[in-house]
Amino acid sequence: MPALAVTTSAMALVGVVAGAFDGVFWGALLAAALVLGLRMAGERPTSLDGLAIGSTLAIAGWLTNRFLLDAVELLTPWVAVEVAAVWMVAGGLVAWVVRRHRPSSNPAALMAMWGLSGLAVVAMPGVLERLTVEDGKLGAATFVIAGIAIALVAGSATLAALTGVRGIGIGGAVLILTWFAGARVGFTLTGLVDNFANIANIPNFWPPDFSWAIGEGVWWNPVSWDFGSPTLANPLIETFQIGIIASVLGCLVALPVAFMASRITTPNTPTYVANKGFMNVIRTIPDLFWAILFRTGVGVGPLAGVLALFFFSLAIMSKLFSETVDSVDTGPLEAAKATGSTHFPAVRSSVLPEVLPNYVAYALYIFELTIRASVVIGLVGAGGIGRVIEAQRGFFQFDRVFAIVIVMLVIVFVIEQVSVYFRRRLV
Amino acid sequence: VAIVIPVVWSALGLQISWEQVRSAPADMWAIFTAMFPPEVSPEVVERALPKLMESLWIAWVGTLIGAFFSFFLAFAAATNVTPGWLAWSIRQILNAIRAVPELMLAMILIPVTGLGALTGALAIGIHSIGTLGKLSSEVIEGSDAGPVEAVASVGGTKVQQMRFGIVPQVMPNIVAYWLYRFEINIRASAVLGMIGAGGIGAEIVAQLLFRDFRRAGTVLLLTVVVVLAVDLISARVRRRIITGRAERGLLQALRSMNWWRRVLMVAVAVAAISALAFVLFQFQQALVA
Repeated sequence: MPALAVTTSAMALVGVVAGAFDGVFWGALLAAALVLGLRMAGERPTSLDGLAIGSTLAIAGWLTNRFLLDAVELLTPWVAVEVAAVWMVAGGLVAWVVRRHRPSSNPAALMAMWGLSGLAVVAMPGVLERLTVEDGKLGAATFVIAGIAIALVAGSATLAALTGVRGIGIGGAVLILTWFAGARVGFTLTGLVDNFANIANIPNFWPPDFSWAIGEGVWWNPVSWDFGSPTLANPLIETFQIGIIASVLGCLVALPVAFMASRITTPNTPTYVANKGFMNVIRTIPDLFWAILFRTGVGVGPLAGVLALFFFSLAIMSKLFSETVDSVDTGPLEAAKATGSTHFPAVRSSVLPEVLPNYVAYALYIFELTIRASVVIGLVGAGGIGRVIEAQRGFFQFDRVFAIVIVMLVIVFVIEQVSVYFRRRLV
Repeated sequence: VAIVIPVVWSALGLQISWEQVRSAPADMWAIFTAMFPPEVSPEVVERALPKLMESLWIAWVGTLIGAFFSFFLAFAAATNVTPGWLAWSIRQILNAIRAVPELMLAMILIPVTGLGALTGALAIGIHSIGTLGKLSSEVIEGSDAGPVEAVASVGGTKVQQMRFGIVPQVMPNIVAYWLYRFEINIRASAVLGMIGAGGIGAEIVAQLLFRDFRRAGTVLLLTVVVVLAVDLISARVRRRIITGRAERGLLQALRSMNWWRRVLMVAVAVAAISALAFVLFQFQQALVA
């Protein structure tokens, strides 16, 4: 692909010369995607096309970077117009290249699209100019960038629709989202390189302090049931106990919920919708959110952990299992109903035996996940080994933290292997 | 028996008093009634929404990091592409990466990249390399060998065999996994905020710490709404990618109606959009005032 190669190398050159790697980088990615999209659509963009698209987008990216990211404080409508003008030139050039390859596409529509996307960019800060520009708040610059992103997504989608080149739309949208996301997250390649020097800051993770974590001397005292070092072993056992109770309870409750959230076993629409909705909503709340909610509700301790992981396992189990019930063979159910059985006995005798092996396999998987999650819920005070990790992290004893993490990794790995073995045999 | 004994052991071993268990529903009910109705004043939303969006961006960047690196590692970890021992060792590396939770990665990375969104994105990205690499390599191993042999028989190089023999087969499934991972990563990035790696997690911790339950309710509600929306959209796109056909979209639905229904639907849509615009306008006015 000579065009692609020329595009990227032109980018690299401009990037080095301008000394502004980031804006150029995103412009270059955009250009590469456009050229790639053209090629995938069966066009043959020449090296000249690649050079034109690439350099224009790179300059546009660089200028945007200069106008916006350096001058957030000084944002005026005039800057917005400048940015819009830069991108309109870029858009116009891309449109021209596409037109060269597809004379049949409607030039008037292309022009309209181009103008509209430019207008959107100009209008966006004008509308929202009154908003405060303060660090961490909804600043106007955010909206300018958002406006550019929206306009370009819309523009590239239109372009794709007009020319039938799908790669432009999807690739453009993904890249622009990424550009925007990267700007918000502060993900820059130069920044990453700068930060890499900090790697020496990783404080004392190595070597892990196993003698503290595992303890010396007696590994297991059969009289007192203490395992190894008391500082670690008892919270570790607590972690397991939390995991076991939570996953068993979660899987038990998930059984009826999953049956009621499947069309096959629940013809009653309100029940189905209610259960499906319940399932989807509890699934959106992450495990640590549950933990901190219950910590606040029922106080610090293992009960909060059990309740949090109960909801965590209920959410995943009911989702997985209701999908299994959905895909069940309906023949036996119909047969049972044909013999005059009522609904519940029919479901119990026909659907349940069919999905039971899957249920047990999923339950093992859930147990594995729950143990894994129960390591971290202690971080917010919901019991278990996480409590110890949090305490040692507070003392900056990172070697001990790391030792615990490694011990946990080994345990989780063993559980996983056992669970995988049983699951293979079951399904 | 194998289940009952551990459960009894766990239940007896945990230091949970019966009174605590009995009063737990009442306690939780107290919390939930304190949270609802959530406070939806512009100030709270203005605080929470950018954080929530930051969580989304962290998840997006993290997923892309994971997708990019895992794509190449997946080929290296597939036994039908790479010689056995090499594939095995790369797979073990992926397993090791996968075994470290995002929170641990973030804790390790905080001294390097500082408190902030970048740390969260990197932690999620590294973890995603492990999970996506495993899933993608399984897809690659499950691919049909026919096209690869066909490309080889006309003299294609090893890279061309992969590019034209395997990639077209596996790409839909792999992209679907990327999207699926994006859904999971949104939850993960929400959690990462709790230890200061950017995103909504910091907000909920702060509000619960100050026992400002109505604001915590707002944060929770916003999280649920956004995650649910992303889940629904992503599930739709995934189904589309896997099955390869478009579902009945808005335009087709509109086209299939008769004309007065179309007018009705368009009127409803215009009313809904203007209502939304009105609310936003009020919001903005309140913000300016």
